[in-house]
Amino acid sequence: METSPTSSESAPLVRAQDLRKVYRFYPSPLARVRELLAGPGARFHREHTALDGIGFELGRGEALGLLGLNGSGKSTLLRILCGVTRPTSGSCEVNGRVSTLLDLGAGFNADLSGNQNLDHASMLLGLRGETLEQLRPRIVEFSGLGDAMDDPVRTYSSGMVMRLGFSLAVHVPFDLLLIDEVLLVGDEIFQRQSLRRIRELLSQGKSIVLASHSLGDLTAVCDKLLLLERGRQALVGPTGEVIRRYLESSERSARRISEGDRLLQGTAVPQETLGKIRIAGVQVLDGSGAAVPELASGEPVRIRIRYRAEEPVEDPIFRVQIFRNDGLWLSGTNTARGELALGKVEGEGTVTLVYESINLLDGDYFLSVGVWPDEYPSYLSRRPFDLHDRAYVMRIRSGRPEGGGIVFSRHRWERE
Amino acid sequence: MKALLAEVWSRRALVASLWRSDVLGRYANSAAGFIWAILAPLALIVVYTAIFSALLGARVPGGAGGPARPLGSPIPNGIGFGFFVFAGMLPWMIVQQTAQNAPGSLLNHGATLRRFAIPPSVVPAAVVLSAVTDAAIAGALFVVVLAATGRLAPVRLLALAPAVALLAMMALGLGLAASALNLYGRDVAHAVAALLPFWFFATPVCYPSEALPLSLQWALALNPMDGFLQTARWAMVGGALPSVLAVVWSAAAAVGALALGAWIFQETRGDFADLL
Repeated sequence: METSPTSSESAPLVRAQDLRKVYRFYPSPLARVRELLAGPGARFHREHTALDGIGFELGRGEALGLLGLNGSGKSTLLRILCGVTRPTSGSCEVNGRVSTLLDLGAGFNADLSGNQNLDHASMLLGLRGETLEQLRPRIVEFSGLGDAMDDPVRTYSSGMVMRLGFSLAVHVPFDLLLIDEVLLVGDEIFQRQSLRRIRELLSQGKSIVLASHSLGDLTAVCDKLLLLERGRQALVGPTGEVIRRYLESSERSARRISEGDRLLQGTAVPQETLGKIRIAGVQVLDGSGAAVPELASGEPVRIRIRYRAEEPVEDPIFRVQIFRNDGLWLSGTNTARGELALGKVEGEGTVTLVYESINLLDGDYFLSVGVWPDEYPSYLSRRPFDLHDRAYVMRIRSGRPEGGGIVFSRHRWERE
Repeated sequence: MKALLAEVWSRRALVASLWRSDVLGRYANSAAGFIWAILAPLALIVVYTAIFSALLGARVPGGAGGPARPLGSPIPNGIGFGFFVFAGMLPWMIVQQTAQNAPGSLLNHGATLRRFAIPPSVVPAAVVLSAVTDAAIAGALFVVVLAATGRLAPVRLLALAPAVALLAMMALGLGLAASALNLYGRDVAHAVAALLPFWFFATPVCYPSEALPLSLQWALALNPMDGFLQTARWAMVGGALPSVLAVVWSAAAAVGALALGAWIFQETRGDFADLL
């Protein structure tokens, strides 16, 4: 696909220079008043630097991917690009109209019908009435909502609300589309339709900024990548180069995510534990038992769990779950299902889960490791002895082009 | 203030759409629908005219059955007292509805403001528009009732136009300030709700201003609502001409309130995205 911008468009669509965004947190409204009264120099707040030193340019027809863990500043950068949040310092010029796929249900009034909400949303977007009337048939058709457009939005499923929001956002006139990857979910048919529409828009010379933690999606759509790490621009450049350098930085492989890391605070379920037996350490190792920065698809993996029993425990169950980085549970197993009866457990020890071949493709995956008193009736109703919820990262790299997606099954092609 | 008004004016279609969506939402899923927009103020008119004339009208000086009143007093008697109260209620409704809905308005539209790059000032502006429209519907019905009972002087109604414009400016000033400050501390909405009854009873809506003791007349002189009430009463039910001083003071206070509210809003709007 030809993506080079025409020479007549001399100014880039987006030019961000030295962007910095600092959020201030005041313990109470009074602290703000006190700070105001105390004059310059006094500080009654704590600061969080969400973005620092971000600078890039984006031309027309280009797609930029924002790569980074949760809390790395992707959403803040998207909000600055769509003009909702102002940077604390630095500048961000956008020379065109912006449409967003963020928070798709926002702006909808649940009591109004889909059509009435379209009227209102078009006003929020600053569209003229006749523009909306031209677009309406296409928006409705793409959303697949049909007659439901006359029903109040409160009767819609969350998927229907998203389809309406998505359909509106991709059909209004714009030059730059901001996408939060989390939104590219929903039923599979609509998801495929959405991705097709995004590619179509790119080929029409629209620009896209896509925030994601999935390397696969980013390589599929983006020309350029910007890697964010704790609000800093760790890498920026052509997709292939950034991914290569990203994967080379080995320090990011199988590591325990430190306490207070913002990554998992949002997703981890705080849970009371019973104690008695603790997980002392988890290592993700290759088939030979060596610690390596990344594991290869299709190769053996050993997950080694060290435990320490503070008092003797009868038949505890060790459980390991693998999650994708958006929280999708991919796989899970436990010692009861693996028919490893541990009997009475005392003192320190180790159990190891051995995958003969890990059939996951390129990406960072999260491991939850827990020790439980029993398996049934439900993990939700029970308290574990100890649980490290999504606390370990397992980096998988596909050495060969096995195919796309998350899972890989050993296969071959035949012609009959 | 100019910049803010220009901004709101340039997005007036959006203000109207916010208002429309609010109204449509309010009457959605109700069998009578928009008829409620008329029934509710109609019920108010009935309540004020009937109750105040029958019960209170008897007790205020000059009311039905009360002692004879001095000549030239603006307070009508009998059913006229109910009309007198309702005419004063209309401008108060604008202030009250704004004070109730404006402080939380930016917060309520938080999701919208976080996603769409719209000027936040349109949100309190839509609240004021909603308050003015509701009062206008009630006012229009009231005018019909007045005409039916032969009390209407159409020429005097013209005085309502500048009065409503100024009152809307005052309400917008209050709405802008309260909605912005409430983002810093929710105390603002609670404080406004707590102070509102004081203002209501300090305003001669349900009683004639003469009923205030002389020692409290200074409070009436300072109350910017007095000029609006006098004007509304004169325009709709007649009686004494509004006092020039009160009208000038009300107009000045309205412009001042808008200037102050707009200044507060403009000074703080940079923080909104982070506070929502």
